[in-house]
Order: sequence, then structure tokens, then C-alpha cells
Amino acid sequence: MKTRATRTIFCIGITLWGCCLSCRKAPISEIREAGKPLRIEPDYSGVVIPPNIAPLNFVIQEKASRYLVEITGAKGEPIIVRSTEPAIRIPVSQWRKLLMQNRGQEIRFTVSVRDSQNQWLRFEPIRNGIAEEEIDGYLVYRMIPPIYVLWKKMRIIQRNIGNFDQKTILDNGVLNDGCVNCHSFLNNRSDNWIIHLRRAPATGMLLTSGGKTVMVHTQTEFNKTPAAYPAWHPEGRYIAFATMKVKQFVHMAGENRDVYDLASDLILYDAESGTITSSPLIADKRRLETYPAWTPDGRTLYFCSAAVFDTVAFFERHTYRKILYDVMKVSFDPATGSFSGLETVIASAKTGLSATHPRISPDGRFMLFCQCEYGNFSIYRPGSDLYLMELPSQKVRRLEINSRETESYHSWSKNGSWFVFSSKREDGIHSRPYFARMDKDGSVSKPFVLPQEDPSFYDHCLFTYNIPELIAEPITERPQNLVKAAYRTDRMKKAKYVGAEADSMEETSSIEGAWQPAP
Amino acid sequence: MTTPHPSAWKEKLPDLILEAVFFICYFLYIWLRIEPGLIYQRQDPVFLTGSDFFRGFLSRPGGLLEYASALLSQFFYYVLPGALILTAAAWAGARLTRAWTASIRPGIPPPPLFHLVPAILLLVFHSQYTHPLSVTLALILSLFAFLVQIRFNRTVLLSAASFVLLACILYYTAAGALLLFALLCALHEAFSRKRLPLGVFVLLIAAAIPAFSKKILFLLSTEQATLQLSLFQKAFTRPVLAAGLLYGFYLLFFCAYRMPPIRLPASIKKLFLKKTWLSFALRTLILFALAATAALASFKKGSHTLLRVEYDARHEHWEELLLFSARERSDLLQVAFQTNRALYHTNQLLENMFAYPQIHGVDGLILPRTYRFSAPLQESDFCWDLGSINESRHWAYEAVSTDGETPWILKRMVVVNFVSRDFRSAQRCLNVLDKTFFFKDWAKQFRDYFSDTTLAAGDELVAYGRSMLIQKDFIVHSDHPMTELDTLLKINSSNRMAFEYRVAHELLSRKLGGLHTRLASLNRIGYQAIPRHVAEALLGLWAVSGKRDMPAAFKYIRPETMQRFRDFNQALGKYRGDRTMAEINLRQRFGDTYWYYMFYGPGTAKDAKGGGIR
Repeated sequence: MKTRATRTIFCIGITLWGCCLSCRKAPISEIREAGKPLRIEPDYSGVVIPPNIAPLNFVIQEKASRYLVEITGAKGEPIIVRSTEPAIRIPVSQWRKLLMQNRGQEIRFTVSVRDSQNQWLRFEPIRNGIAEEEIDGYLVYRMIPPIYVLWKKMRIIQRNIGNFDQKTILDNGVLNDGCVNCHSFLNNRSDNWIIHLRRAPATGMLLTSGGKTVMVHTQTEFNKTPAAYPAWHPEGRYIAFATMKVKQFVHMAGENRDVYDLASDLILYDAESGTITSSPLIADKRRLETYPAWTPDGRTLYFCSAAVFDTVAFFERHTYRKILYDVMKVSFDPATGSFSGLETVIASAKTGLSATHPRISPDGRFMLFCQCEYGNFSIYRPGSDLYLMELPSQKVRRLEINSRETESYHSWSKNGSWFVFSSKREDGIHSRPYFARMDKDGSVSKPFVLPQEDPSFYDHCLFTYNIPELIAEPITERPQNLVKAAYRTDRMKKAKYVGAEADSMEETSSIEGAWQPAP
Repeated sequence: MTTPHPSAWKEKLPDLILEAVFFICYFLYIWLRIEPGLIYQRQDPVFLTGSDFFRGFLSRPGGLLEYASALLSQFFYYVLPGALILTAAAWAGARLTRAWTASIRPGIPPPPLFHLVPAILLLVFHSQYTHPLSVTLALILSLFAFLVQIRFNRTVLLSAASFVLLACILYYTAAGALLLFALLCALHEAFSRKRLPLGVFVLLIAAAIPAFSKKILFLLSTEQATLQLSLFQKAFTRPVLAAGLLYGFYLLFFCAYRMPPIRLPASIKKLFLKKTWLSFALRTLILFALAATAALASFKKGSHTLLRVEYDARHEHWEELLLFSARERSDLLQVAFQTNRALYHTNQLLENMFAYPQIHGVDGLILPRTYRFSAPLQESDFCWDLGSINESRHWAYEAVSTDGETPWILKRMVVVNFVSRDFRSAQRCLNVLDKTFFFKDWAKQFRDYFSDTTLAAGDELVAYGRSMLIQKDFIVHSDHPMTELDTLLKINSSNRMAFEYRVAHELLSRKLGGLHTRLASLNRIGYQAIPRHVAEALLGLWAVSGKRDMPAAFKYIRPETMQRFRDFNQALGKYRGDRTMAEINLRQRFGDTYWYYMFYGPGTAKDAKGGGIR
């Protein structure tokens, strides 16, 4: 017995000694310069990061037996990470401290690896900038498989951007596997926000306001299809929506999913009175209006609009490629809730592209939007890119941050220095949230993907990040209360249309022939 | 621990042997009849190694047991270990039930063999193929927790405290297992221990835990909070019946066993309960009769046939599939669909398809929309066969949305993405497959294709996919199969499957107007003679046209087909063209011909008179 214990202690001792030997810091003289840059995944090189971002954990794309990463800034203690694996996990507290100490300066990742000949190689340092401005602390997104037609699992998740904490806000498994989508927040805050539910257990929107959550049935005699694509008026009273009839079709080559709106209009929901109104300026029968977005002063509503098309020719002559959306704007009077003065901002006839998803920066100077080959469902268009319009000068430019794949849905940080957007640059199928910083002059830094605790997370994640929205503070409403409100269909508020005589879309179902729950 | 007296063992021995024989038969039945591989086929359980997958199970009650169940269910992939797991689970359930029966009236030996009833019911449930192993494991945990609980029943306080603790642990581990545990504890406290208030307390706690858990701790629906992993779970086709049978057994047995003894006639007592060989033989007979009746009554032949056919299709056992299909002659649409696929893969579609039931017409050839949505992976496989690679990818993604990251779906996604040159997506799926038990070797092998292009080019599957990849874009018209097939043929006129399915579609729909135009393509596709069914259709058309001279192309019709055509006409002539009268005779001799399908297939007026071929 005694011999066995002694043997065990001896073995442990030998192992620990071995570990110490292998992990000891190599003297500088023994390190050879690799003379080349290092490749890391995700690509966190040459980016500008906010000072409140979670550690940029990464995987070194170099085969070696030992890895040594030194993270340094002009101020503060360097962070040393030693690893036998190429996956580098940076301690959260040290990282946070280093970032705060070096706001507005540079941070360097110096990576050394020990190769098969026990020779240490040091790569050229990876340099990243740290911005002065923070990004909103939370990202709310929908986590779904890359859905074609059928859906089953989907969740709305809130991720703390400063660390790796995440919280499920809604899980459709609790809501009869219905569809949960279109979450939208008033002024990047979490005290007034909405989320849409479809077939779960009723169709409508969950409206959280003043600490209370109610279900609102948004279908009226005017809009026989439920409201979608919300945009909160900055004063909080109104929410602009699109209401549309969606159809889906499939291609035999390339990205095979495609979507078009057979009909669509904009409506205005008054949260105080629970009424819905519209105007011929935003609900023209000859046009397809969608994707509303307010200016920060609440005096202008931007949206996308295209001429209605001949549905027979659509498939027979492939005219779907000719459906191009313009960006329009219309003045709004919050006191009366009325619209006036329709103008074209981006004319597709001039660009030859279809414009979607306009979002105005919080300072009102810029409009970030997508342009793609045709249609309005940019997330399914590989050619969709982000464009920036400087509103005072009306100058438009394609951003340098675009990739060969889809860049789509985007959301501004409250301070306007950051935005998040969906990008499928990895593989063309799975969208990931990328962050980019924008200077006051409109120049945009190289984007970086949302950091994960497991740096190889994206390599095996078959889910897609949908509708990323930045919020400055966490959602305080308990998920249980949201579920409870969703089930209290007897207490569901019914929106009432109070405009002129309704001249609405004919059919009642908004998405027949499009997405549906799995059988 | 006391050792039983040798005479006690001797008394128990016959029943123990009987139990052993029972479970051997049980094992054989599961192995040979139910076939756990088909349970795997039906449930496609997902299990991945690594902490990420495990962590996902910690956020809900019952997650731990579901994790364990997902792990064990992987072994259903192989028949023998699967049968062993199910038999072991049933045996554990039976032994724990035996211990429970012994606890009802301590000191009195419980009636023999009753404890095997839950095992028989589990056999019934597993015969449905949809019954999750997790529910069986939850039952075992309920019984085990009860036996632990009754060890702490000395004082009311201790019993109450131990119940609360065990109930909390059990609920977190196995969620709905709490139902049976609480029921057994409440009965035990209220009637066996005569502590009615404690019995009520037990039930109140059992109701409070899920309610508290739903309101405060977890994000759950009421159904998930209370019934998850119980027999009321919706995974069953008839959950109330299943729950009624199993939970009812425990309730009824308890009531019957606690009631004052019924005065049975001495002869019956002697016959069943005395320790004689006759009573033993009778008990054996009753046990096996009960088990056999339950097994026979519950066995879902339709499900078994479908799953067997789908299993063979998935593993590309086309010959076995055809043999099985010919033997079973199922009228299920999916069976017809897979049989036609097997016929194509064995070069028999246009030669022999009417030898198999074609009662669904064209729907048995190309699944209608609703069926495609309920079997997206099968549709992906079909599209792959058809050379519609993008559609195969589409349906593979539908499948992963519906059924999760199952190895078979991931395999399909790897191949379609690789062929479509979407290497990152293919690698991502391989990364997930690396974490599976039985598919990581395949993943490792496939991974070499990324670095060695010649290796990839040598892979039959990859080479086929690449050769069929469509570059020019078309809109998919999956609800209009003829348009779809025409498009595929327009893109690639050598697409053999599209051609054969196009012709088969014409035959099945009896729209034969364009059949002559297909003859020119036969040579290009590789046919030396006109396929039998096409020849039969052409002969039929010629006969109906009333023309005397046979077209020149008929020289490519095989002589035996010509002879059978003459025989058919002759046979029909005997009945003076009365098809109804002729049916039995024609079915026996010509049931495998297109002429028979034309006359008696779906959508024909079977009572039509006259109109013989000639």
C-alpha cells in the first residue's frame, strides 16, 4: 500500500516537473523571428475594437507543440497566455483592464510557437486599435438554423458583449414551436421593445412598455396580414411597420433561396391609442413599400419601395430580376401623426441595384443600407453589400468592409460610433454578427466577428445569427413573463384601423407558400 | 446483508429461470422483430462528444436523463447492443417493480411474475418505434428513487425531508419521472404507512416543484414543466393510453394488493398460487400468452415495413429493398417511392416497375409536397439521385432545421457542400461529425479530400455530384414534376434518372402522347432494346390506334414482350373485352405488365366494358 502511494506521488511529481519544463518561458535569445505575419481565426488582425468588448479569443493557424501569446499595450501589465493547443483563451478580467488602460491606443498580440524541432518562432505582431468610444453592451439576435422553408428550433438570445454571458429571452419550444422574430428596441434601450410571434400560440406582437408586456394583434381591416419589420419612432409613441404578403421560390444554382413580396404597405401603430393608420404616401397600391426607418428627430420616415410587378411574367420570363427597390423618404408630423412630401432618396433606376434596410445613424448624418441585384430580401442575395450615404451631401459609397458573400441586416450603436451587421462571408450560408467602427467622417474600420469563449465556436456552429440588434442595457423583463403574456390570448389587445376606408391586400395569410413550421 | 436460506433459493429458482427465459425471449424479439436499427432510423438520436453539447442539456429539467438517453440510443445503430440496452432497461424496470411490490406488504412475498407486466408494456411502447429511451429510463429512475425514499421512512419529518430532496433531484434529472415517484410515495405513505397527511404533502410538493420551476427557474411551457419524460409526453401516438396502461398498472396493483384478500376458491388457489409444477406451468403459459398477445397486437407492421424500406434505402441496399418490398407488398406511399428508387438504382425501373404495387400512381414516383416536408432527408437523397444538387442541398438544410444535427443529415450536407465547392460549410459539418461515435471515421476520411484533389476526384459520390452540378440557374418547380424533369433533361440530356423518371411519370399518369419522342433518347441513355414497360405502352398505343402496320421502331421490342402482348389479347378476348370478368385471370398472368396497370391501375374505371387492346 505504502509502495503504491509513493509510486503515485513520484509519478505526479515527475509529471508536474515535465509540465514546468515544457511551459517555462523560453529565453528571448532562443526565439527566432518567423518574418511573416501569422494567420488567426477568427481574423482579429488590423481591427479597431471597442474598449468594452469581450476577449478576442482566437485559434492560431499554425501547427506547433507550444504556443505563447503576449498581449501588450502602451500601458498596463501585458497578458501572457501559454497553451499546448492552438486555441487561445484570454482571461476576461486582465483583458478588460488592459483595454481600459489603453483606450484610444494600440494593442499588440505577439505570438510565438514552438515547432517540431523544438525551435521557438515569433511571428510579426498583430496590431489592433482600441477606440475611445464604447459599443452598446448587449447584442440581441435570433438564433436559427439556416432556414429554407421549414422551421423548428429558434431562440431570441441576449449576449453580453463585454463577456461571454448569454441569456435566452424567448425559446419557441415554449411557444408551440411557433416563429419568434423581428425584435425591435426604442432608442437602443430595453424598457420599450417588441417581438413578433407567429402561430405561437397566437400571431401578433409582444409589446413591452413601462414594465408591462402585452400581446397585440396587429391585423386590421386595412392590413389583413400581421405587421412586421418594425421601426420605433424615437419619441416612443409610434411604431412604423411593413405589412406584406411574402412568397418564396427556389433556384437550381447558386444561393437557392429567394423571396419576394406580392404586396406590401407601411402602417403606423400608435402605442398610446392602440390604433393603426396609414397614408397613400406609404401605402400606394401601385408600389411595394417596406423596411421603414426613422430619422433620430422623428420628422422623417425612410423606407424602401418598388413598383408592383406582373406575377405571370415573374416566373415565365424571370422578371423577378427586374424588381428593384428605391429608398424613399416622407416627412412626418408627430403631433398629428400625418405624412407629407414624398421624395426619392436612392433611385434604383440610376443605380441598377435594389436598395433595402435603410438605417439612419443616431446623429442623423448617415444612412447605412444594403444594395443587391434585385428584390428586397437581401439576406438571401450573395451580392448584397453595405452602402453608406452621407445625408447632407447625398453622397453614396460602397463600404470597403463588404465581402464576396451577403452583407445584410445592420444596427447602430447608441453613440453612432459602431454598427453591427450580418455577414455570410465565412461560407455564404451562415450569417454571423460583425462589428465595425465608423469615424465622424464616415470612414469605417475593418470588421470583426462577435468574440466567443470557445474560439473555434464558429467552426462547428450550424446555426445562423439573425437580426442582430444592439442595446445599451440588458432586457430586464423575465422570459417567463413574456411567455405568460403570449399565452394570455384572452388579454390580447386588438389594434384598430382608424384611417380612411380600407383598400387592403386581398388575402389574409401573409406567408402562405413561404416559411412554415416543421410537421 | 443476510444470505437467503438455500431452501428459499430452491423455491424461487423456477420463477427465476422463468424470468431468465422470458428476458432471453424478450431480447430475441427486440433483436429479430423490432430491430433497434429501425428505432435508430426513426428517431435519429443526436449525440455529440464534448462539453458544449452536454451544457445544452443542463438548462432544463430532464436534460441530464435526455443526455444519457441520447448517449445510449447511439447504440441502437447496431442491432445487438441496441437489443441488449432495451432488454436491460426492461429487466431493470422489472426488478425494481419487484422490489416495489415487496414494499407494499412487507414480510409477505408478492405474487409471482406480476413485476414483469411493466416490461411487457415497455415492449409494447418500443414496438411503436417512436418511444424515446429517455422515458423508459425515467420510469426506472422513478422506481429507484421510490426504493431509496422508503429507506428514510422512520419518522414523518425524515420522510418528508428525504422526499423533498429526492423529488428535487429527480425532477432536475428526469423531469416528468416525478409523476410516478410521487404517486408511489403518496400511496405508500397514505396506505402502507397510514400517514395520510404525509401522502397529501407528497402530492402537494410534487405539484409545487414543476410550478416553481416553470415560474422561477426555467423557461418552460406548462406541458414541458409537468409532463416531459413522462408517458404523457407527446412523442407517443397515443400518450394517454400509454400512460393509463403503465401508471394504471402501478395504481391498480397497489389497490388490489392492499385490499383485504379476496377469498379465492381453493381449486384456483391450488392451480395458480401453490408451488406445484402445474401452477408453474400455468403461470408460464399465462405470462408468455400475455407477452405474445401484447407483442403481436402492438407491433406496427406498417411502421416496420416503412422503416425497413427506408433503412435499406439509406444504406443503399437496393436488392434487399426490392426483395422486402416484393414480399410485403405494402400500400404505403413512401414504400412505393423508395421501391421505385431501388428499381432505378438496379436498372429495373422501366423493366419491372409494374411488378411492384403502383397504387399511388405518380405520387409513388415523386413525393407530393406534404410528404416531402415530412421526410426532407429522403427528398434530399432523391434530389441527389436526380442530379438536382442544389435541391439536394436545400432539402438537407430543411432536414437539419427539422431534425437537428443527425449524422446522416450532416453526411449529406458535407457531400453536397463539398460538391458545390462550399468547402467551409462542408468542413463545419465535418467538425460536428468528428464529435459523433460512429461517423467520425467517415469524417476523417472525407477530410483528406480537402487537401488531396485526386483523392476527391476518385470518390464515386463526389465525382457523380460534380458531374451533375448545374451551373445555369433555373427556378425550381417542385410542385410540377414534369416541368422539373424536363428542365433537368434540357440541362443534361444524358441524365438517366431524369429520363427514366420522365418516362415512368408518363406511364403512371397514362399521358403517353410524347412516348414516341422518347425512343430516340433510349440509345443515348444506353438501352440496347426498348425497355419492357415502354414497349408494352407502345404496343398498347398501337393497338388502340387501330393501325395495321407496326412502326419500324417495334423491331427493338423484345420477342418475349411481343409474345406476351399476343397472350394478353388472347386472354382478354376470352372474356369478350369484359375487363371486370377478366381481372383475376389477367392479374395472375399479366399483373406485372403495363397493360394490367392501364386497365386496373389507380384512376381507372374498373367496371368499364369493352375497349380491349385488340
